[in-house]
Amino acid sequence: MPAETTRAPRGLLAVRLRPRRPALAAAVAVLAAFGLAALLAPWLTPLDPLATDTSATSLPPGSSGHLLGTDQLGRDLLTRMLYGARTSLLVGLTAAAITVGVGMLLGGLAAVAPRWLDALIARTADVLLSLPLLVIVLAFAAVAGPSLTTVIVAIAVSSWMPVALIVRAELRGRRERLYVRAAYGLGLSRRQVLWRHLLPGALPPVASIAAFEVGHAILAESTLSFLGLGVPPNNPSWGNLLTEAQSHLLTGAWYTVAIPAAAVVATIIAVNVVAGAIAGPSDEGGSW
Amino acid sequence: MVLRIARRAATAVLVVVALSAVCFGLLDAAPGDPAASILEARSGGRPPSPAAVAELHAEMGLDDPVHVRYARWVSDALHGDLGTSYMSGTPVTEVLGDTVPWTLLLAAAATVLSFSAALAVGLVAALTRRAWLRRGIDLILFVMGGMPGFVVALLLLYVFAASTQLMPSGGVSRPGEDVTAYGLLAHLTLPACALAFGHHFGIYVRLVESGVGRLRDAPHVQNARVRGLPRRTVVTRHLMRPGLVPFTARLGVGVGTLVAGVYATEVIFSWPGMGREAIEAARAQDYPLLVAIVLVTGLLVVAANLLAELIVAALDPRARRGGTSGPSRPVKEATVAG
Repeated sequence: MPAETTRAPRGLLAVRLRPRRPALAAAVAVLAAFGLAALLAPWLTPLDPLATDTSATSLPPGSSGHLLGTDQLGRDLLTRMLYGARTSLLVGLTAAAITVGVGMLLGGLAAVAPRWLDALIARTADVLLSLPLLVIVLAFAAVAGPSLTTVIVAIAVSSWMPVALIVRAELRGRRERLYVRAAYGLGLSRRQVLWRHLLPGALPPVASIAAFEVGHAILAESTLSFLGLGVPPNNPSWGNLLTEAQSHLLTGAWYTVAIPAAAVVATIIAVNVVAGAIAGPSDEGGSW
Repeated sequence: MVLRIARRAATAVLVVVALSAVCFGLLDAAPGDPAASILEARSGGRPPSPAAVAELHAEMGLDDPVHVRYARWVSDALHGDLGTSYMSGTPVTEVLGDTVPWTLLLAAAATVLSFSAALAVGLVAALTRRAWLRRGIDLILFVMGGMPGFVVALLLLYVFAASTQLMPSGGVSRPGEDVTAYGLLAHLTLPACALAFGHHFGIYVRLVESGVGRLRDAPHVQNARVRGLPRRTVVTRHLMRPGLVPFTARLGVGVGTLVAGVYATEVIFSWPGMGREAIEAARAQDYPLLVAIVLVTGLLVVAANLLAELIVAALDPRARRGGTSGPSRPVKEATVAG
């Protein structure tokens, strides 16, 4: 296969913002700000995200004491956004970490395992890739009951395949390279070659797809929570906030939708920029 | 070619078997006892006696070993019996018959819209010599790449239905009115757009752009230009026909992504399709209905993939010869779409 085929997925997904400093710096700043807001939520706001206040319902943004306003039950929107960032980012990072871990393990195993095991892993990945997984995740979430663990497991089970296939392809592609054979020739053991020569070479593409997986996981979490099958409703997450706000869209309180939606979109875009920068300039011929 | 298609068909069968196993597994693992649920529904909500539950349990064959139950479930499914919906008490196949056509209509409209728009935008991006236009397209796609489908849907709903009232906000006809062709078109527009222009739209534009752009200055294209062929002929015959193979190859997966995206779209726009039904079933823990919808969605996607494979074989002589020179397998498709 031509070299182009191994790069195509990255080139297609990596938005072609060349890692020019302003875009990357802005993306990192956005992620750092959201991360800090999530970590410091209890210190940034004196209010309780679940406490209702019947004397201050449906306030518009800019009301005194409620910077982003309140919802119909009088819960402070800024507070809910901060605590929502905790849930959404936690789920995104944990699910992506598990996805990448499982993917690397299975991909690495497939690359070094006997032929039948390799075939089993690769075919399983193919079969799973051709099923619409949101549907299965939905059913799984419904059967297992909504909880943080369900969401994380569902996301990991439905997205390890690309990582595994890339790791497998990278390792197999490198097995016969001259420097690897030289390392064997110098008497290094299989384990040493794997750790010192094969894995480091395979890491850059894996790092890039790992970053994309974070964005993918945040997207998946928000979609599931939005549909009421993700994070339990009493636990604010950006997706949950959108579910509750959806009915306000037609009554004019558009900001209750716009604010969480903007947070989700900004996070995914920022993650994509960082992931694209890790992937390096793509040679798909774009001008960015 | 026959061999290749046979191989693809075999894979499809494998996928269907895996799908049915997953569906059965979900149904089997679902909390609650189906026998108890049925008795409770029959007696109008009164909790049934343990003896009655045990009797029905045995009668339904729920005490048999798992492979027997699986075989019976498959056999029933093949005979068109997917169980009874807990919510409505009607056979699941009836519910599917009422909802699946609406979903197919929506998905078909979105498919046509998404792929023709991707084709147009991709061709412009590949062929234009204006840098600002290309950069503009890049930037828009870039922002779209971060928008989950349901955010696009909410945005469209707000802009076109809530604030300007240009479009109806949901359903398939105005309340109390019959479905008319014109009314249906008006109600179909927003959900179809929301489904078509989710975060995966950029992938198809890129496929067109890179496929055609790579050939733009290829020798055979220059030769065609120098021979004085009209621009239209050069573009359609010499650029598009070979350049669109990666795009076409991806259509099958694309249709699958679209079908998987109907859930959030149908909920937001109150579209009476199987996606909204599935979410309601999931919330009400109506497992037979939910699992049946999972099964139908999976079958639709497998069929779409197989169809796309045939189209590629018709377009690409290399694929017809059974070589592996066709486009690479899609390694990463955002499978969760909203």
